[in-house]
Amino acid sequence: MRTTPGTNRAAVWYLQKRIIANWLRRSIRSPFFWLMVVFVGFLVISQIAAAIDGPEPSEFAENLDAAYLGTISAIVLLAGILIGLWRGTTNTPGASLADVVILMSSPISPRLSYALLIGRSSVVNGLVLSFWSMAASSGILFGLPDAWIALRVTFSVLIVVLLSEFLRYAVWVGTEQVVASASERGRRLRRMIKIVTLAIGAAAAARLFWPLVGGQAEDWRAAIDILFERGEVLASIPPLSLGASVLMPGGLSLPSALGLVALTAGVAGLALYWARDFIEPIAVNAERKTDPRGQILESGSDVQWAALSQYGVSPRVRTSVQPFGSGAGALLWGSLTRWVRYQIAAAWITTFILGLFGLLAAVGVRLDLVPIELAWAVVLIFPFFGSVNMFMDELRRQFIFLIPGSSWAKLTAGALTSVLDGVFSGFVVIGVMTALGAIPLAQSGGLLVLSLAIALLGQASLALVQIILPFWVGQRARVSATFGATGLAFVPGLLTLIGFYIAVGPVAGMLAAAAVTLVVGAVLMVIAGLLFDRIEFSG
Amino acid sequence: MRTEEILHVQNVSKMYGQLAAVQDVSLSVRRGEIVGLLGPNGAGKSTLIKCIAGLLRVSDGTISVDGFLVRTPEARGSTGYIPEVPSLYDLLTPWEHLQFIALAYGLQNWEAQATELLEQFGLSDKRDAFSGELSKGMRQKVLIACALLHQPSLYLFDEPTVGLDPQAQRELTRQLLRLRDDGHALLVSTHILAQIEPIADRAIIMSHGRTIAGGTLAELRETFQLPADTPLEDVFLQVTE
Repeated sequence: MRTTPGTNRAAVWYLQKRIIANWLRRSIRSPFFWLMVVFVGFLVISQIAAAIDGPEPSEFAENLDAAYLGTISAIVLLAGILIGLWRGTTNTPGASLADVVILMSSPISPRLSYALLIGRSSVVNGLVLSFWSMAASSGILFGLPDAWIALRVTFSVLIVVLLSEFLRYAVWVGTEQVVASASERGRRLRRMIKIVTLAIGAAAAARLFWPLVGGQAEDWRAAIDILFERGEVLASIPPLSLGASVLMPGGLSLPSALGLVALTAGVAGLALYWARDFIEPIAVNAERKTDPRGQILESGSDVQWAALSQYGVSPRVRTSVQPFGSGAGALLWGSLTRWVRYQIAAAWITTFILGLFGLLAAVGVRLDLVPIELAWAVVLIFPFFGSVNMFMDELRRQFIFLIPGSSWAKLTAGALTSVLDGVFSGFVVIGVMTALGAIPLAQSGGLLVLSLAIALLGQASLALVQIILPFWVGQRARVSATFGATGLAFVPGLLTLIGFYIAVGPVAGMLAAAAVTLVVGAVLMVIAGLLFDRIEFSG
Repeated sequence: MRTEEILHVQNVSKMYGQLAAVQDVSLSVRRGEIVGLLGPNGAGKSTLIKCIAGLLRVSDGTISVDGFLVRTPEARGSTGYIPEVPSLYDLLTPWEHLQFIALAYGLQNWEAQATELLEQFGLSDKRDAFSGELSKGMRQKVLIACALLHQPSLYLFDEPTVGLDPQAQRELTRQLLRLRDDGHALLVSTHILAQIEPIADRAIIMSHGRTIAGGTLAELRETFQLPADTPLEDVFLQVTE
């Protein structure tokens, strides 16, 4: 054996290169992949065309003080930094068990393994988020006098994501060194970083929102103006000022951009400098992901409990609930308690993200940037995409077939938790939008009823697709087929919505569409129940 | 037969908070020796093996592999670890896994041996299939082939036969014996006592994180005053009950 830093790098490069190449090899067979390629291509070309043609500023662009863009950028950068610090003290970086068994047990240096983990998650998150920011900014900001703005927004988002990720990895591995040598001191250090992060966040939020809480804003426009004016102070504090300068027209864009890149690279360097003796928590977490409850129940020992407890993940696993009822009732109880436990563990994250989404949508509607109908569509997307959910897992396990009870009852019981999950997401968004006066109360009620109907329809379509398709059909095809079936089955409801909306009004349209969708969903579920004996399991 | 120690575990403990998963364990495995690591569920076998593989930190004590302290690149290069759960990169083929191992361990002219290993484990026709599409048993075989390719001084097998078909189990047993004859040291954790009994030179029995017995089968029988023809399974039950 003869390993050198050179052979180490070659091995890691080979590993990642082959994974990407094989992913591409598999993806090019998917129509969805080509759809995304066309979409990204369109976005990039439209940006270049916009830069050449110099289009007329849109109404939004004309009304928006360009300096506010800098303030937004500074606020987003601050949020990215705080999120990075917080995650660095709370979440162990993720790795697959293959990483642990094959990569981390090899002679490849831990620093290089850590670089691979950082690179993987940062690039994926960075690319995904900057892609969506490009898409969003192309739509919203298209027409600003500075036609390259969408690309600059994309660059800013990419940098914020990378900085936040690198900071997270640096803080985690840096504090892990202290945890390894003196666990109590390490935990205290992490607690202290959390407190400082919260304090900075609270101070920034107070600075921004205090006048709004005091009722100084007469209307929404005035509130936004006040918010941006107050944010200008944040935008003058380094390194937030760098983020602001990148987007502010007339700012020192290039030096600021280079400054941000240097800062981000510096944090990444720090993460790699500290990267040693970090494998244990990553290995324990990777093992947990392979089925913690199974491993723990099988071994019947306290060792795994203690290992998981050491890394702060046991409460989610430990809260096991005793079985209750029988047949379909037991199935409902099992999936419902599992969902509730998951929500208890992760509800604050989900609620925060959905609440933020509702806030943005409410601001968009109140400022007339987003038509209310678009907000409805966004809300209704949750139960639609929620059709591929926990119920899909239930249908892949033989238990649903083996437990006693009528097929229809078992299918309905298995689907109900997934229905709840789909409606819950929409409920948070609708709640925030209603509280902020972006959606009238009656419309909110109508939207909720329609969400419920779509969620039921989605689960019925899922059940039918799972039952009809033979066992050898892959997961991706099943997901596509489920979305396709749900979409088709919603056509009568959609037509009803449009018809009643025009003839009577929005609330009547929603209620009528919900009734039609419920009927279609019930019919599909009954058919699924009748065909249930045909279901095939892959083993 | 050379008798130098390849694995040396000295007073090793592993704590998770207040819970001692491994307590004051000392053992050694010599070149050309197969040692069975036995014990009931939760005895601390897997934890100990992961400590030796460098995946877990030891709370106390020292471990060295081939004279190198564990967790150093040299010790990792001298160790082959085959875990119970066969974890491969879903998007790599078996051949690409072997190529990665060859690069990571700085192997030269490895292709012929890799081809032979795939053939021995009946994986030749799966050479270019994505590992995500392989059965659990096949994934286990790929992982074993990866460990065999770089010929480390010490092999750590954690329940190696779980998920393997009878042919592959026989092939694995043959490989274990060949590795021992070639002068490698092997530590094999298993519950299947009938499989380890004919090939293990010594057995170490753990319970509640401690080693409670160790030695050749004859020595164990003598220690616990059991008849000379007592099978390992009966010895194990006598020791652990």
